[in-house]
This record gives sequence, C-alpha cells and structure tokens, in this order.
Amino acid sequence: MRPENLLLRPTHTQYCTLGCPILDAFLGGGIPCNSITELVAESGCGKTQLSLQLLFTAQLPLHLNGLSASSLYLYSEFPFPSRRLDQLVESFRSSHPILFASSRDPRDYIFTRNCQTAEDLLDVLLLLESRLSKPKETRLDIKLIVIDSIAALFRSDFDNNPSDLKRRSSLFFKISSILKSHARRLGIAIVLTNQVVDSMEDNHGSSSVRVGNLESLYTSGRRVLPALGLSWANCVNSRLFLSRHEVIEGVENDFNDSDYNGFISRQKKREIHVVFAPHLPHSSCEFVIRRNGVFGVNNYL
Amino acid sequence: MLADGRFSDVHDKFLWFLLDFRQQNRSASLSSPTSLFPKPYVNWKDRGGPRSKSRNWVWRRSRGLPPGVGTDGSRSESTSTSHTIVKGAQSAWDMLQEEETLVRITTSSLDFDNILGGGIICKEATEIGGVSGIGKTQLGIQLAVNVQIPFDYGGLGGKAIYIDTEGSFMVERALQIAEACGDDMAEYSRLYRKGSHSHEVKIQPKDFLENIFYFRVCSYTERIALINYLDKFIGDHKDVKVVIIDSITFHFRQDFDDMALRTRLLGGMALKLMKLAKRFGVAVVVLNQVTTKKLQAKDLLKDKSSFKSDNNWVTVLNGTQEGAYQWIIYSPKKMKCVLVEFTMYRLICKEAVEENILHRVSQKSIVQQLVMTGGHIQGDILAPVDVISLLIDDAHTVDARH
Repeated sequence: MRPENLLLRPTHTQYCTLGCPILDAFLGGGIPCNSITELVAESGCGKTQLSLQLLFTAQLPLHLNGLSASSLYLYSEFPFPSRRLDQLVESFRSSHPILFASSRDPRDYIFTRNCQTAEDLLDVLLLLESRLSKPKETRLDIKLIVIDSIAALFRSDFDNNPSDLKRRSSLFFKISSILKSHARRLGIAIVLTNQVVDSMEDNHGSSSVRVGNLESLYTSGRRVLPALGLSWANCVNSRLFLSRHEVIEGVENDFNDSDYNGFISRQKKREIHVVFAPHLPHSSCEFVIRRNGVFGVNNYL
Repeated sequence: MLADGRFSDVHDKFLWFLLDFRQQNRSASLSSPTSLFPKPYVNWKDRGGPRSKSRNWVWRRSRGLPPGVGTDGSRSESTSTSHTIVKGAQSAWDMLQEEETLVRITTSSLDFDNILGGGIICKEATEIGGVSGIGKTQLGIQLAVNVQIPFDYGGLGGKAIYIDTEGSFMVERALQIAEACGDDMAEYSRLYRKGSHSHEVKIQPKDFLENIFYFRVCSYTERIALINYLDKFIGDHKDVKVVIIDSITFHFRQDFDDMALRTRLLGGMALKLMKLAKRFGVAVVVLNQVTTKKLQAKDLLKDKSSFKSDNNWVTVLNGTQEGAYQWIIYSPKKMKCVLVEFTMYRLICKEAVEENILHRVSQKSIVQQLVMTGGHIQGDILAPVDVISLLIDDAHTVDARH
C-alpha cells in the first residue's frame, strides 16, 4: 500500500457545475466529485428540479465546468418526471445550441432506472460496478449518479422494531460505502435527495441532537429534521438543505389606504443552506425555479 | 508510611524481581525484552547515572529525610547495574517525568489546548467523537497540518498519516488550513524574533500537503491490512508524528451481524494502534461517530462498545450558538467542556470551562463514594432526586442544565 501524494492530486477537486454561476460560486464550484452530496428538503422545494438540472450540466464539456459525461438517474419516487425533463431539454438546447444540436439529443446521455426497495438499489449498485468500469465506446462515461430519493426507499419498508432498525442502518452503511468506493475509483459525483420529518420537540429545548451548522432547519414555518436519522447523517459527505418560506410583501403604492389590501402579494422565497460540508463554511443563498431551470439570486447586487 | 531507606530497598527489590522475571522470560525464549519495549521508548542506558542520582536526591530531600539513609552511591550503583540488564522496566517517576516532557500537538485553539493539557498528546491514542458535521474532520486536517510546525516555532516538525475511510478529506480545505497555518507562523516570527530570522522563507501550503501521507481505504479488510502495514511504514518514515483515522467506525457499521467478531476486530485494532503510539512516539487520533442511546434518544454519547481501551475521549455535544459547538473532553485526568467555533481557517474557543460540568463531577464522586461505602446523604449539595438522576444517566442532565 502506498500513500497518495496529495501534490499529484489536482489541487482542486473536480466539480460539476449547476448551470448557474451564482449557485456555483456559493458551492465553491458546484457538486464535488469523489464524494456524496445530499439535498434535504420538504416536497416542493426543488430537490428534483436541481437534480434533473444536474443531469444536463454533467454533459457540458470541461471548459464549461461540466463533466463531459453521461449520468445515471435512479428514482424511487414515482412517476418519473419526464415532462419536466422535456422542458429542460428545450431550454438547454436553446442555451447551448452548438452542443445540443438536433442530431444529438441530451436524453441519450441520461440513463434512468427505477428502484423500489433498498435491496433493489443495492443490486443495481453492485451491477453497476462492471458497467462503470467497462464503458461503451459510443457513450460517454457515467460521471454522475443521482438517487431521487433515498428516503423513499427506507421510509416504507422498515418497521420500528430493533431488528428492522438494525438491518436498516446496516444497509445505510453498505450503500454508502459502495457509493463511496465507486465515487473514489472513477471520480463520480453522487447526489442524493432526502426528505424531512417534522421535529416534535419544543423549540427551546437544546437537548435535541444538532447536526451541522444550523441550529435548526425551518421550512414553511415548521421546524424539521432530515429523514433517516443520525446514522444516515454519517453516510454522506456534505448535506445541503433547501427551504421555502412564504414572504408577505406589501406592494408600495401611492394610492389611498383602501387599495392597500389588494396589493399584498405572497412570494415564495427559496433558500439553499450548507448544513455541513468538509470544504464549505456555513452559508446560504437564495434561489428561484424558473421554466428553464434553477437559478441563484444574488441579493448583494 | 515506610522509612525512606526501606522504600529504596523495596524499590530495588522490585527492580530485581522484574529482572528475574525478564531473565526467566528470556530463558524461555518467549519474547526478548527489546522487542517488547523497544529502544526509543525506554532506554535506561541513556538516562545516565548522574541524572538518576540527582533525581533520587531531590526525591529524598522533598521527603525531608537525612541523605545518609540508603546512601546515594550504593543506590545508583544498584540501579545502574540493573540498567544494563533490565531494559524493559520503568519506574513511576520516570513515567511522570516522561509525561511532563512529552510533546503535544497544538489544536491552534488556546482554550482547547488548555483542556487537553497542551494539545493532543504523543504516545497515546485519542478518540474524538461527535455527530456528523460537528467538525471532526476539520480537527483532523488541522492536526495533520499543525504537526508540521517546525521546532523553531514550538511545533514538532513531523509528518502526518491521514487514513480516510469516509472520503471527506478535501484538498482545498487542507490548503486553506495550511495557508492559515503559514500565516500564523509568519506572524509569530514577525512578532517574537524581529529581524533575526527575516531571511527565513515562509513555508508554502504545498509543502504542508507534501508531508501528509494520505491513504483512502474503501473497505474494512483494506483498513485492517493498512493498520498492520503502518508498523513498517512508520519504521521507514521516522518523522511521522501523528496518525489520524477518519473514522474508525464507518466500515464496521455494515455487514457485521456477529457483534462479538466486530468487537474483537476493533479491540485488536485499538491495541495495535496503541502499540504503535507507544513504540514510535506518535500521536494516534481516532475520529468516531456517535449513536443515540436507545432509551434516551435525546442525548448522544460515545459509542462505548467500539473503542473502549483508549486513553482520552473527546466528545462533542450540540452547540447552543450559531457556529459554536460544545465539546466535552473525557480523560483520565480531566473532564471539562468548552465551546469551540470553526471559522474559515481554524477553530477558536468561545468559552473556557463550564462550571456546571465541574460541579457535576464533584457530585458524581460523592455519589460514587456513597455507592461504595454506603451511608446517608448529608449536606445540601445533593438532593435525592439528583442522586437518582446521576445514577441513571449523566449526560442528559448535564445537557439539560446547559
């Protein structure tokens, strides 16, 4: 066994761009290869949006900060979002007309597979080993694996008894270590999405386990915790939390007061936070979901 | 209480007894003393006669006894003869002295160092536990960099072995920490040695990276093999001063239905690591994950089953302020608590000692006495409820008080 020379390693890990310079800057370049990044959010915050977007940006060439690679999308939450995928195809074709010419469909470079149970996922990952190490010439290598969502696999099939919980946490570590060894050997970026559970403890109790930078995670005015608990938190390298809040903004008007009520608009404010990551400090960034993708908002400009 | 002369007799007898034991051992050719206690660790020859003599003298004077009893000459003679033959034994005095002179690796945080007694101690294994995202890896990278601070700057000037099982080691982050460390050293030389070392070149962050031997292991078999190999590796690279394992449990939390086997493997590994620490004088830092106790899901405490035999525990509790974490340090010597903050570059302590914890420790010792000797609770330091809570569980109440 030999130690790795850290100097021979590229001083900067390869990152996969998110397709938006603000989000990339926020994440220090994008989604890092060789590690597992988890997106935690309640439903409707943009987990799937962001992960679908990554399937496209991974195909971008290296000089555009992409990975120049195919991607694998494993989904456990049905149905497969094919309509959104089609929308994104159109928007990517229009934004990169040369790359995604009509002869080259970006969908050819996105592999999908559904997984219904955790064991199913484990089988897929084990089969993947041979597929990944012997890529077909016609296609690009797979450099991005998205699992959407990991929580759905584990939240249904397991009972709340000691033997099931033990089996569950053993599976966590198994899946995570297979993913990490794939990531390590072939330089793959891995993105997982996770759901949240409501936190039932009182808000002032400092006794609950605190994971990461944020004292507590708030979304839609509720206090939540990432699903799958503490042992799963040990399985991922970095965790990002997407939140959504409704902000009531009174529209400024020069008319009389009676008109005022009519101009109250409810805006959704979405934010992405770094819960923990080996390379990032605690920070947050606002983002919006548009028809043509997910984009960061820079409030300081 | 023994008279001093008798004491030294006993001492000498003790040595001779050991000698006999060793000789028997050697005749049985079980294992030679040199292999049991290799040279760099206990070398009695190097500790010359005069030194031990003066030490004896100090010892006696502090006891206020006449120096005539059990003359120094005869005593040092007897010990020096035993030095030549007994290579394995070491008196408690030696051990104390050695502990006081042991080098420590700073954590870059003064309060944190104070609690650890000056930093992470060499020749010992230290376990650091905590929930994910609390900063274990950050501390590990920090130590891997800090061990390289040269002698001139009060460091060890050593190299580091970093065993990564989780894949959380990021080169960018290591570079950032190395840069900050280099800045600190430049600052230090500017402040404390004006002009004298102005020609000195600042250590480049890349030099720091070069001195970190990074191993990435992907399975537990690989890890066991690596730890067996470390013996040889450190033998070849004598300037390695710290071994960091991030984390010890990751691969052992899957595929083990046989918990007894797991405990045996982990125990064997712990033993090997401690041997390594003793033999080469390196600090072994083991990062560990934590689990919740089943009965008290609210508090988190160390995974006691995994790595019991360690010298130090450092456990991280949850933080109370944004960006600040509360660390509790368990060790045979101290049990204290500190608030630590991770900034972009290094860790900084927020508060020094948590009085509650110290109070709790004193309460605990009273309860222990009660349990051992029986009797009644006296005074108002403890209410009966408190005693029960102490007997059931300590961490939860500490946490709640906080």
